[in-house]
Amino acid sequence: MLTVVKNYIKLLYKYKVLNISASMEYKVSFILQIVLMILNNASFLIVWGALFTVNKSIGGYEFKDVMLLWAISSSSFGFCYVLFGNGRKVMSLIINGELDVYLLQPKNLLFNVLVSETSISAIGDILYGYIILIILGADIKLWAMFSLFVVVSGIIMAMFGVIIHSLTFYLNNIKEFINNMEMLAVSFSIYPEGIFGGFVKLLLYTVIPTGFMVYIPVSVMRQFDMGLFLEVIAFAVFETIAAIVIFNSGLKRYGSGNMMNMRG
Amino acid sequence: MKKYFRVAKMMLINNLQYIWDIVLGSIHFLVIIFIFVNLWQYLYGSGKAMISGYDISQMVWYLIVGELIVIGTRTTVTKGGISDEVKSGNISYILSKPINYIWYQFSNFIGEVIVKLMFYIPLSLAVGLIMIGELRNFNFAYIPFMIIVIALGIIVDFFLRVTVGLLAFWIEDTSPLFWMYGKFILMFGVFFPAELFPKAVADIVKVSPVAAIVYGPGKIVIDFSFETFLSIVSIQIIYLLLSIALAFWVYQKGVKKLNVNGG
Repeated sequence: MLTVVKNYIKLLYKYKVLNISASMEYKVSFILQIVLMILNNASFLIVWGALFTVNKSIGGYEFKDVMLLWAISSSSFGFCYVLFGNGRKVMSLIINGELDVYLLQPKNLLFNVLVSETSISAIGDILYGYIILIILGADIKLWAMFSLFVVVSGIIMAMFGVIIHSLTFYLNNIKEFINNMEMLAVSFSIYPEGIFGGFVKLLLYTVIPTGFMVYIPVSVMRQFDMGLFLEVIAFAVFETIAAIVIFNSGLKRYGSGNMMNMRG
Repeated sequence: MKKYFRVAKMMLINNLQYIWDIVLGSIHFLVIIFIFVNLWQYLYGSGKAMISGYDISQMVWYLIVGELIVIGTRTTVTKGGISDEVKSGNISYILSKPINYIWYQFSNFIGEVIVKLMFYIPLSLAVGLIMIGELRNFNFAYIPFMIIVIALGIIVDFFLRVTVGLLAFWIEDTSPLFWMYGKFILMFGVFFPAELFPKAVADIVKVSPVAAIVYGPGKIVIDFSFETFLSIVSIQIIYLLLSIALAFWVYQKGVKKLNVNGG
């Protein structure tokens, strides 16, 4: 068991080194993607800075809480797409019959598909969250908790993606639906929970996992609560199992694209 | 001139075939409005009738106008289509034809944007009326002036996006530049009027391209006066000339660097 885990970690490492070094061939583009993503995220602070001149508290959040919300949202999004960079392409791989090339490899299909690409701009997202922590003057406890939530929330985000993309095995023409679901999960994750009413809140803890991805982590980081902390972990485990089951059962309906393809 | 009309007409007919994509693509447009209506209701709900001189209906309608200009007019060209053509070398197909590349893309844009606006304008009106109701002090007689300012805003935005897209002659991937440009417009102009920013920032926004693209049109719709109209149109004409000149200059510099391998 330990050897299997070690082998997968080794595979993951090799993929990331290969992907990142390939992208670094275009140095200007590589640096621009990371730096501009950090600036892109930081630009929202201007909006919040202006909004907080109207009220000291918005939806139960103060300015530093919104910064923390942005930090966790951005870093977990970054973690998700640095590690599972191919997550947003699962739908097109299924539609175009491009899973064949992965099916022939002696590694777990879903893992192999997800980790085989790396989003470079997402590195900027990860860094942005930690820059915020430095600005907030976070103590070691917050750094540790934040890092743990980055991993757990990143996994929730990735598995949510796997679930909605796997619907492609069953339904046709759902490209826009998938894009919209991904957009909804991210859009709601950067605004305080308190501004939304009951029904939307219900959606954010069920259909769209934004509540578990960012709202509960922010709440736990503001005031530690073991029950809530375990809820996030349990949800991540549940969602991972659900994603694997849905993907694997959908795979039985997969039709090969008969494409000749090679991966370097 | 006739050939450019033909291109626009062809693009319009093509896009009418994909109206369902436009409908589904509008969910993002609606979500941002929904989130901000919630946000403004929360802020105005704490006992404020006016924030920076605007009531809640003006704040929401300002956002709707801004979104209409920025999201409602996103087309293949303005989303990075030019960069893709430069990178793939497909630009060479147009270069060999007796048509100017930038005006060709402008015709494409007009054809596509007409279809989009045919959907987004009624949608914006319906969403605004349902979510927040009528705009205070709105006068229907000023609609022609509003149309002029909104149209100029859309065109200035087009030429600036073309300029960003043409930077693909030098940069492998222009998408980060598109994010930054888009964010700049969104942050400083779409979400709320410049008056909410500190005065020093607001003063800069009011003379920046943001004023020509979104702040000006939004302001004209929610708080019309002839004085504001004239000052906004002046800013728009200056930025229109500058952005056209910039797009052509970047194109002429860039096209000299183009290397296309036959295939």
